[in-house]
Amino acid sequence: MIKLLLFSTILLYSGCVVKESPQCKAKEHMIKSEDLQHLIHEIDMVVYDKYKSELQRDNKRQRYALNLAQTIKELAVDLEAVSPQELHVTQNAENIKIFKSFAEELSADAQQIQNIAQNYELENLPQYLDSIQNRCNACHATFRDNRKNNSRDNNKNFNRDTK
Amino acid sequence: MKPSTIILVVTTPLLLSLCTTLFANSYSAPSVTDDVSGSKAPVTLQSGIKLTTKETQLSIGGRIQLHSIYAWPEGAFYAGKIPLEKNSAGEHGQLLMSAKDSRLWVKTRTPTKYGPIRALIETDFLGTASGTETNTNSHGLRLRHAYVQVGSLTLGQTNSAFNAYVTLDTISFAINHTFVRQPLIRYSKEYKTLAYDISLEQPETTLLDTSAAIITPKDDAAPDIITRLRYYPSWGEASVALIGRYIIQDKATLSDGTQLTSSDAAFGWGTNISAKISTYKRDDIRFDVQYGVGLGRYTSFNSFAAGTIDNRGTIKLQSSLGGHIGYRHWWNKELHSTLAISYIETKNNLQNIAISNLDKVNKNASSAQLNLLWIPLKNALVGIEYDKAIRHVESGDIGYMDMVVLLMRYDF
Repeated sequence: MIKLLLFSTILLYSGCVVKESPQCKAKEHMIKSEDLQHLIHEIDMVVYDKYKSELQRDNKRQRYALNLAQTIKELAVDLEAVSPQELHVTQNAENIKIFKSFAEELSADAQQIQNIAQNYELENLPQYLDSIQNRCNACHATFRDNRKNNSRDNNKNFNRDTK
Repeated sequence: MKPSTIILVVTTPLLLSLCTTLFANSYSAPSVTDDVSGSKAPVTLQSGIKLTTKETQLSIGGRIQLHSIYAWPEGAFYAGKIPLEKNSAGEHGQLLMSAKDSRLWVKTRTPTKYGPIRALIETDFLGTASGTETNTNSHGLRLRHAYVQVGSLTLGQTNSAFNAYVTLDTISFAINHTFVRQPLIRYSKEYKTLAYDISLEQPETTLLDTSAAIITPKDDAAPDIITRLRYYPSWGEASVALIGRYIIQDKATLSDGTQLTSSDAAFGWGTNISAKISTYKRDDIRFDVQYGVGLGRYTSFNSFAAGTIDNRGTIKLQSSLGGHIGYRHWWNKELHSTLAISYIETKNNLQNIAISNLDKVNKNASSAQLNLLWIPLKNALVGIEYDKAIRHVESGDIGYMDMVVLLMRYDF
């Protein structure tokens, strides 16, 4: 019984630690990205629903768009909480500022999507989906690609040193 | 509306260049582009033409659809129209092509203090044909939807709340398809993952008379009442609908011309449950089950009557049970297939129907469908489907039908 309690405690504790780890945050980011991918796909597929009227399709689009806005907001909040150490780039103020601005702009886009969905102005949705894709691409190009390049450089140095 | 204030905006495909840029990236690790768009197809919403004033936006859109059908024997893919073996002397394998299922719609949106008022008129060309295949192939315009939505209210003609909320991704209908479009007044309330509808809809009694003809007494006094609960969890969507109907005849006229001198009524009810459950990646399972006493015209395009009426005018309601299930699989980002089976049956009251008329009374029907659908461009669909259906009638006769359908569709 004591062993079981001890095991449970360790398991719970390790769960908490994992939850807070950068890997766990990356996983959460990936899951939310997959949610976005799914929602955008569902919006694209609404037009093929042959039994629904055009207004019913708009109702479906609105529901998906509101979910999309919510997911993007959560994503932006997660990004704003990322510490400078987790960025894996040169820790200068400029980089951190750029990263935070991506998160803020993402959040603003999410609010716009929510507004146009609530007012059924769904013809404006594509431009904000565009905007979000561009921001995500730019952010990844700046930080994820840099991280990869840094890592590649480190490996090169390591190989050179070991030779 | 002042002409000077009208701005004509023609929506164009905006995102092709974006996608080209995104996917031209040689970086092999998962990029955010892959994460977010998830598709080489551009992010789309809809196209169409929009006329905008300060207050109202009017949009025009529609669908061009070409159906090409081979059927053995020739018939309609409805539970009540599958040719019986003994009557199937018609054409076998004749190629029929048609664009009459093309559609045109006009919608408006006007902001008010109660939220936007949205209105829609939608038509197709499945109305009375005025041309033949020989020359013009003309087809009549037909009203599909004409309704307005403001706040939680829907007023006008549109899809019944009893219809299957989740439907199969097939070209032809499931054999048990629950589908009615009619005038209605509906109150809807939407929450984040839940929604409900209460709908008062046009009644129409359908009864099987002693000559095995389905008659409509035209004596309806109370609307059909439908309540529906919709649920939008992360794993898909689901709905449960309940219907209550007042089935009535008041000195109705039977199909043989007999004028009844009595009245009768009965209470019909039914339930319809449909759901879509996400499975692996983008795949999903979809199903729909309905059961009721007096469902009648709400299933299988009026192939079964709500009840029977005898020569004394007595109504006896009939129970119906139907369902379908289908699995949709995505082969890649543009190609997908659905494999589906469906079934419908009604327990007919046959006491007062002559044996010689039993071949007019549908007992049950089943179908299987398999397709391959391709999305080559945004809003476009090309597909091929094989359908097989079997019908049983109360005389013991059976009908079989095989059909290959080729579909080309573009929504604009």
